Amino acid sequence: MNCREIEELGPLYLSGELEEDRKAPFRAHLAECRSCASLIERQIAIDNRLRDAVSTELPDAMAVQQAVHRRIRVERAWRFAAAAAALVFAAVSGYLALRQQPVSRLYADAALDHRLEVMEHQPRRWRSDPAEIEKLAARYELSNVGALAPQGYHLEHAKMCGIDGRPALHLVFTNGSKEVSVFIRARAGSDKVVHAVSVGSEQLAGFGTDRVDAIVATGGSSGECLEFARFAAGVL
Amino acid sequence: MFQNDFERLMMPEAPRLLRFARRLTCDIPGAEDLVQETLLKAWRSFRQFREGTSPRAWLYRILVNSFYEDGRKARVVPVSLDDRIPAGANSTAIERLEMNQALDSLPLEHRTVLLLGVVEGFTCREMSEILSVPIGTVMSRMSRARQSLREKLSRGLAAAQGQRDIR
Repeated sequence: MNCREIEELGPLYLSGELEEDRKAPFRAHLAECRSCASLIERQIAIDNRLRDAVSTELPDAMAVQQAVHRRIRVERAWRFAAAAAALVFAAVSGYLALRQQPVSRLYADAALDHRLEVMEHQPRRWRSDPAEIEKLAARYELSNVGALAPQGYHLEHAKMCGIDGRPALHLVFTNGSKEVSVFIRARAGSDKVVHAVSVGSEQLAGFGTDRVDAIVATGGSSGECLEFARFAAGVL
Repeated sequence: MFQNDFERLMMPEAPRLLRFARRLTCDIPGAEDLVQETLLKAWRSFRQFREGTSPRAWLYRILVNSFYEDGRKARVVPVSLDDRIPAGANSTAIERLEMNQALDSLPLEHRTVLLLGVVEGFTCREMSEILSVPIGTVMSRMSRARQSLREKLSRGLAAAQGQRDIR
């Protein structure tokens, strides 16, 4: 084994992963080569110092754990509510429920995000700069997303999120007194016709285009939600 | 059973995940968001977790993916060593601060492998899975990271010595 191999295999040796048949020649080289032995010794010393400096601090994660538990409880409740809503919806329109099996999770996630992030203003990293928002929209080959809202509303901020296990652009519009979420994700087969869904106290309306699926979520009335969605569908 | 297994296998990792996330993001609130998101994603996809595989490696993989997917940028704020050393700090405390400062000043890739490999105790093979890169890449990053850290510490010591000499 030569010095170059010692340098290459050093990380495996130090992590205890070097196979037995290579460990003996590795150690034999260290016994003969002062330079390589010194390199490995320095690396062990630096590892020990690093471990000592960083491992001693173990932050209190209680607040994070509690937040996760709260969120899990809310999600389970929403999933249950969404499943119940889907059952009612299926009873009214079995055809749609059978055709769009993923709808319940999709709408439940959208309703939950709207509730927690928009209505309850849980802290998130929103983008307010129009240029940054346009960059996010460009991922869906969209531009001028500020024009998706009817008169009186303006685009407040946006961010990327995940709904139904897939990435989506979350846009928030406001008219000063109400806030409306619009979720846009790559087309997965939603009905092109604008249709309304209720999840808890949230009203949602979904529709699809050739490229994207969109969901509008509000805490207002079903009529307002549908009106907003029809306007956005016209623009898209 | 699902919830019990999740609580038993995943939740105890929260403090370690938070320590790693803080070092990765150099941003305490951002790190808490990242860990919260990681654990929620783990909960949502816990059924995909295969019994017998390492729950820790699985969690760290989710965390690292979330960190990169959302375009989070590590914000390293250089802090003067003198500013961080409290009056009367002993030599062990000073050494730890020097090490922390040197670590924070490393490029993200180097910091990541050192934290995973040295602090969190993952093997090169596990890191290769966590970071989704070949094991050879992990090995070369580890070597370069250790070298950079050593150089940063040497420079830091030399600078501190220089300042003391001026005074």
